[in-house]
Amino acid sequence: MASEAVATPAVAETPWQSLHPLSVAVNLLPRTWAFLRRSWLLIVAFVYGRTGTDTMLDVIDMGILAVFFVGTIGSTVVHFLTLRYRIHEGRLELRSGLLNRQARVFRPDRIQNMELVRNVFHRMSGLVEVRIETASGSEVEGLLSALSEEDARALIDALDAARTRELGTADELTDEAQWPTVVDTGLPELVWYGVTGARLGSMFVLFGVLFQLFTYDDPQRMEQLPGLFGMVGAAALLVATISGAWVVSVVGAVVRFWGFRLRQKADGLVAEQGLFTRRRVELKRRKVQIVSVLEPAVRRFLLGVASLQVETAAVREEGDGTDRAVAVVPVVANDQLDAVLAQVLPTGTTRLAELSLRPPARYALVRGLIGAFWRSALLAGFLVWMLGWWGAPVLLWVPISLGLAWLDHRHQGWAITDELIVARSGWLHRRTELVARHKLQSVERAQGPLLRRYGLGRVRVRVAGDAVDLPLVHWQEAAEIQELLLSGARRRARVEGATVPPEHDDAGAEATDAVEE
Amino acid sequence: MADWNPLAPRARVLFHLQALSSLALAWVPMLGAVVAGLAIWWQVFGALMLGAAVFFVLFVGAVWLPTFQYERWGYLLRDEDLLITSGVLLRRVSAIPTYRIQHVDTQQGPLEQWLGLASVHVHTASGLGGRGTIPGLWVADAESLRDTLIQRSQQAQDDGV
Repeated sequence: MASEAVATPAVAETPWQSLHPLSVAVNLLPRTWAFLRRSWLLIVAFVYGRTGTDTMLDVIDMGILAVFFVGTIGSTVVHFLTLRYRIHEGRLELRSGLLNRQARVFRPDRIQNMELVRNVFHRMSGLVEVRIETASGSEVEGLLSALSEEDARALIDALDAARTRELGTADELTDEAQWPTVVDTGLPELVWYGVTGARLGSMFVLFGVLFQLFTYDDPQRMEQLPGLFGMVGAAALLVATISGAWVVSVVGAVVRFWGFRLRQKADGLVAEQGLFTRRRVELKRRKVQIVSVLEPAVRRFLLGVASLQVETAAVREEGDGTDRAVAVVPVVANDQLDAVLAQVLPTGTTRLAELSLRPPARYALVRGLIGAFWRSALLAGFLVWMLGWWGAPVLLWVPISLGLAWLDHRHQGWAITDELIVARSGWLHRRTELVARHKLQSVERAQGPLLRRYGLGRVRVRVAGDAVDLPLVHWQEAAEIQELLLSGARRRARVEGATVPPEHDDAGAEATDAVEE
Repeated sequence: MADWNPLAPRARVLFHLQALSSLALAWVPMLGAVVAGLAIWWQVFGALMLGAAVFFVLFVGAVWLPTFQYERWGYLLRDEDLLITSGVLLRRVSAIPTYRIQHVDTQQGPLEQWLGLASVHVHTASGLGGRGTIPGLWVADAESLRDTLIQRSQQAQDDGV
């Protein structure tokens, strides 16, 4: 066969862009703070742990800290000097690194969500951090730590346009002023959110800290406590601790969710929040994997509100309790819940209150009671051992936890509709998880020795980035659920996939990396 | 459930060798350290007796458990999904729709190479980890299964997420 020369059109080289020059200054303080947070134990040991006068050891300790600190500064400078980005042939390309060079290419249709973050330093300098996340890995794959607002906006718009071309969807409302507001949360709602958000755990931590401080230099001082304070004083201490936990919770809620607004952007959602660090998350509704409705008893009964947690496949470990949560809607009135869920779920409308949930297996109560007994008995026993008679009231926790386990069992439930998988657990902290059936990645049923004794099994539905457990059911029923979900998932995926052009069907990595040594 | 495909018979040997090597390389040194510590701080005879008892339990477990482990492993490739069952104490049946598969690996460690076996690792966007693994297949079976799974995953009409 004669070879035929094919003239390929020359593709114009797109110029690379760099971070804003002020990025070094903007990043330095947060990175230094991160360094101090990571090495606080070493610093405390260095400052308070010295017992001798060996200056050589001091020099070595200081040297270790200095090396890490200089490394922190150095990485900030290298990050600015080497990071370049551009959108070329419809793909976002990033390259960075001095010794270990990395080139990363993002397909816009694989981007799960984009986030704009402005901490205090960004706001002072008029810059913004752009975070771009795909479904791969547990880190932010595309981090542009300081861009001018114009550059950031241009980048997001260009990626949105490329995504629209690839997915065949259109953002009809390009003017932000036209985006309808789904949820707008004011200060009074945030204060109530914080007041009802203080948890027993925080109070125990506060108690623990106070206990440590009180007995720091004299372990016997605990025995003198009744004489020092009296019962009234001890009660006042308890009230002060609980109030302290409330104050911490309220301040935390206000700082995190100040000015919260969730808006609808054609086929996506935009959430904005934050007092000192302002965040703006943009995500496509079709990328949402799990929506969790969180209804602690106090909020449910006293305020009639719930919180929503919206997760995409972009998993992120932040270590501050918001792991995996891409967008959290702090306060949604119960009467608006269905309307908000209809905006965030990929399946569209749902009527949560009208869903008929099936109960867990009856013997699941036995397992719940056994678990609750051992957990509470161990905790109470430990506290009695630590605190003596002061810990005796904690023994009351054992029957209370058994009661809570019974309530939990009574209010657990699950449902599988044509569109959704629903799992509900908890009474004190009620949590209802909703998964679109076409998002299912795999289904697993498992049975340990205790569950086998009662003929029970656990069904775990995995989606990209996370999983949802249904309440315990009979082992045979678990097998039937597994089959039901498998048969439905294929049909739903056909429907969803029908809109995707075949040239984008490859199932490769979310972002491709090339590393040059 | 329909008939499960068993692992290659030689996988039983693989599981035994893996259990014994883990006993020799990890458990025995750890046990030795604990016994030495007890002998110093407690009493030599008591420490040796305790160590011998624990070693006996571990040895019996290493010899006994792999047989049941082998019998519990199985897989079933159906039209649109792959089922994997495993576990002696914690029994598990994982079901993976084939159109959700992102990629499939086959792997051979030194023992598997020596025995002519391979394992198949199925990856989806949910990060299945070990739950997507089928160990102890004949190499030809593993490669055939891998190719079939890859072929079926390519029929997907979306990005698998």
